[in-house]
Order: sequence, then structure tokens, then C-alpha cells
Amino acid sequence: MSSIFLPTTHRRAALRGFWIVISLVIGLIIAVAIWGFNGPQPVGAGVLTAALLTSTVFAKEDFVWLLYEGWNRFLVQPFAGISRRLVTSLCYFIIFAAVGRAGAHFRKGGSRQGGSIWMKHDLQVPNALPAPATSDHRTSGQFQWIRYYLSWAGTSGNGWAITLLPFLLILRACSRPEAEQTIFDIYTLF
Amino acid sequence: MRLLRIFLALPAAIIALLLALPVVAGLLILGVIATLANILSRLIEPRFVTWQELIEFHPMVGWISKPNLNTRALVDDLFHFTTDADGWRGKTNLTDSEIVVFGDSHAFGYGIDEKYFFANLDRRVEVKSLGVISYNMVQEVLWMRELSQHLKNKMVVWLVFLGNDLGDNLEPAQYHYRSPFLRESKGMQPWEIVTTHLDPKPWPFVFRRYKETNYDRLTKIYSPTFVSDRAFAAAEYLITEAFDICNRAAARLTVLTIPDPMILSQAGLNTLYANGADSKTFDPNLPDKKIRSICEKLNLPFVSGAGHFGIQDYKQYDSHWNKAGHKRMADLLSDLYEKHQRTCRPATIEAVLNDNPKLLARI
Repeated sequence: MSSIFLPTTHRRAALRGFWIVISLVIGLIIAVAIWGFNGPQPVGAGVLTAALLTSTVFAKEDFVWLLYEGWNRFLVQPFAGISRRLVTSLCYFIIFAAVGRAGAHFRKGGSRQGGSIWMKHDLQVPNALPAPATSDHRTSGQFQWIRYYLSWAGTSGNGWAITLLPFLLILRACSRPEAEQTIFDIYTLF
Repeated sequence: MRLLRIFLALPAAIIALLLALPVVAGLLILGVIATLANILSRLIEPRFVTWQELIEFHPMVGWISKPNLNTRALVDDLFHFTTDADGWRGKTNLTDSEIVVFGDSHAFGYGIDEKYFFANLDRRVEVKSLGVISYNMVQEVLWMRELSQHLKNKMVVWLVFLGNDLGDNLEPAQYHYRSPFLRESKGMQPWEIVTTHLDPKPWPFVFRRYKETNYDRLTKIYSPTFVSDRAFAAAEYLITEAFDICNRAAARLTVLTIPDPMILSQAGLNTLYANGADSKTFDPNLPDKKIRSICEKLNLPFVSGAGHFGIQDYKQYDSHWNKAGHKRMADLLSDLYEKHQRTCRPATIEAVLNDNPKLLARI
């Protein structure tokens, strides 16, 4: 599934695609509402509504552009912001309020060489996370990070962290995608 | 310890998931709408070509627009355009035109639909635009030479885009396309046009162009630097050449500069200052002053585009004109043509009759 955000673009095809979907949704709602109230010709009314709304994207393109930009700015962005805060709070609840009750396990008695429990960083250590540079999602797939995360949770003795995965997926869905590299960016000759 | 953590985490996660259900529902609705819109937009969008597919090799000037095109390309949105049998855009042919416009992609109308293209807008005056994507002034002068016999008694308007034309005149390639360029000469003339390297094979040394190099290029041209001194000296040679060609062809040349949109707004200037331009030495009017001075020496009409085009005439994410910009260009050409008609020396009756054999036959 693509992002919940509509792409930031000036392409008419994106505008028309969005508006046709909205027109169909509104047409469907009208049809269901009329059918729910036992009104006449719910399907016809729904189709007519959808057709009339669709025509506005050709007749009043500037107005529909305002709605397109408003969709991200006034609906998706605030929803994503509130959702991120809520889900992050739920993650903290799981981590600190729930799992935190189990306490932490510290090695007592210090290291082999005088007092400090710091360890030299060693990628061979099972608890170590894989280096970020290896998880380039452009070359290795959008959901490669899930594999790394599960692998880390299993090998580091943090199996409980798997319960956070659904929330991490929700947080990812609420984030704005990286700016698209469109073809016109390549043309730099005038 | 590990098992305890899992036993604590599981019920907490279930409770949290229940609390997150409204978020999940909202995400599903918004996600489905965005996904369907994306799929539909891909289905309904017409096929388009990249700019590299619009040009082909030409031994004299490096490249030219492909002939008989009827297609779309993408700038911020798709635009539809056609080219004639010679690769030029516009409804008018060169023979019937009253104004001939030379230039780069601005003259080509890159980014604008056919019906909004400035050369097609004002039918009171027949305009033929001889613009090609990414041309420098050297290529335009070569076309003036080549087509000089078709310029007789016409008004020739030479569009000079100040964003890159002045610097590009001195470079042997645009990206990997070999282009004619100017270099200092040891002979009688201070400069010579170099075309010996033109070849369909890609130029091996390619500088990647991106936003920051563009800022640097603007900074060097709009400030008194070695680069701008050399660029203006080269421009003087080319404008003098064009003046001579048009004089010999009995055509009246006007030079019209097109400002880079970066210098038309304070936000654009601030971006340049943040990327290395010195506000003390950067002069948004420097190229116009220099080119005006060159034209005045030759008694050549000069029009500064900065006095006619504003930031609202350009596309939001591109340096080409939008519909308003093309309308403004069409109006400007009409005004220039009216002035041209008023200031032209009246033709002798003999000259008029010689140019119009049908009229001569009726007398």
C-alpha cells in the first residue's frame, strides 16, 4: 500500500485520479444513504452524483487543485501527527510501564580489567545491531527493515520487542514519503 | 527474565492495539483512497517522452528537434506539442512569418501546451519560433547564417536566457551532447566558433548539473568575475555576428533578454546568497547592463525581459514560462512588431514591386 499522503505534484493525472476516487466514494455514500432511507433509485442517484462531481475536475480545475492540496494539509497531515503521538505513547507504555516492570539485567562485578562494564564495540557480538548502511531500502526492498528488526529481537534476547512491530508499522504509515525524484528533475538544460 | 518480559509485553500490546484501532481504521481509509488515486492516475496519464527523445544529431549545430513530432513531455506536468517537417514548433512556416524568434527552450516553448505557446497565440502577427532545447547563442547564430535568405524584411527577435546561455557559449558540450562553442582566437577576430568536435558520439567529460551548480553558474555571471567578463566578451562577438547577418539579410534584429526567475524574487536572491553569492557584488541587473551596452554600440534594439516578466510568469518548479508568461511574450512581440513597423524606413516603390511580382503583374 502506498503512503496515505497524496503525492506533491502538479500533474493533472494525479489530480484527476484523486478526484475520480473521491467522486466515486461520495456517490457510493449517497447511494447507500438513499437505500438506507428507502429512497428511490439509490444506484442512479449515486452514479449521477459521482458523474457530476467528476465533471468539476475538468470544469473547475483550479478549485479542485485547492481541494487536492487541502486534503494533505488539513486532513492527512493533522491525522498523521495525532496518530504518531498516540502510537508513540502506546509504545512507551509497552516499553516502560509494562516491560519496564521486569527490570534490567546488569552484570555485577565489573569487567575483567578493573571496574568498568563498558565493552569494546564488536560487530561479532550477538547483541549488536546491523550497521545502518546495510539497510538501504531502495536497493533491498521497502520492508527489509522488518527482517533486520526481527533478527535483532531474536538474537539479542529481546523477543518482547516483536510486540512493538505493529506500532512501528503504523508509525511508518503515518510518515510522509521521501520526495519523489521526478523525471523533470533530470532536465537541467534550458 | 526474557519470558517475563514477553508475558508483560503481550497483554500490554493487545490493550495498546485496541486503543490504536481508530488510528488503524483511519489509516486504512486514507491509504485506500491514496492507493486507488495513484493507480487511477497511472492508468489515465498519457504516455510521454523524455527530453532526450525530442532531439537528434545535426552536424552543423550538434542537435535539432526531431521533425514531425506530435507527443507529450513532462515538466511539472505533461504538455503537448508538435514540430513541423524541419523540427521547428509553431503553426506558421518560416516563409509566411513576419517575426522570427531565435532562442533556446524558452523559444521552443518547453513546458507549455501547443494552444498556449506564444508563437501560436496572436494570429494578427505571424510568428515563427526557431527555438531548440538547450541551445546556446552560438547555435542560434549558426542558424541565422544558415537561414539568412529567409529572414529578408522580417523582424528577428533573439531571446537570450540569462540563466545559462552566456556561460554555455563557452562550453563544448551540454551534458553529453557536443555543441558548437566559442574560444579565443589567435587570428584577426578575437573569437572563433568551434564545430570540429561535433559528433553523434557522447562527449566523454560530463559535468553533472544540479541545483547547486546552477546557483554557482548564476553567481558567476551576475557578479563581476573573470567568468562573466569572458562570457560578456563572447556575447559581444556573437551579437555583432548576428547583427551583421541580419543587416546583410535586410532583417531587423532585436535582442530580448529573459531573466532567470531566481533573480526575480527576494526568496530566490536569498537562496543565491545562502549558496555563495556575495550580496555586495552580486548585481541582478549586470547581464542586462552589459548586453544593453553591446547593443547600444551597434545601434541595435534591446529589450530587457526583467522589465516585462515577473516571477508569476514562470512555472513554480521550473525556469520556463507558464501560460501567463507565454501570453506576456506574445503581447510583447506584438508591441515590438508595431514599433518595428513604425520605425522601419519606408520602402521605395521599386523595392515593394520587386518583392511582390504578383502586384507588379497587376499594374
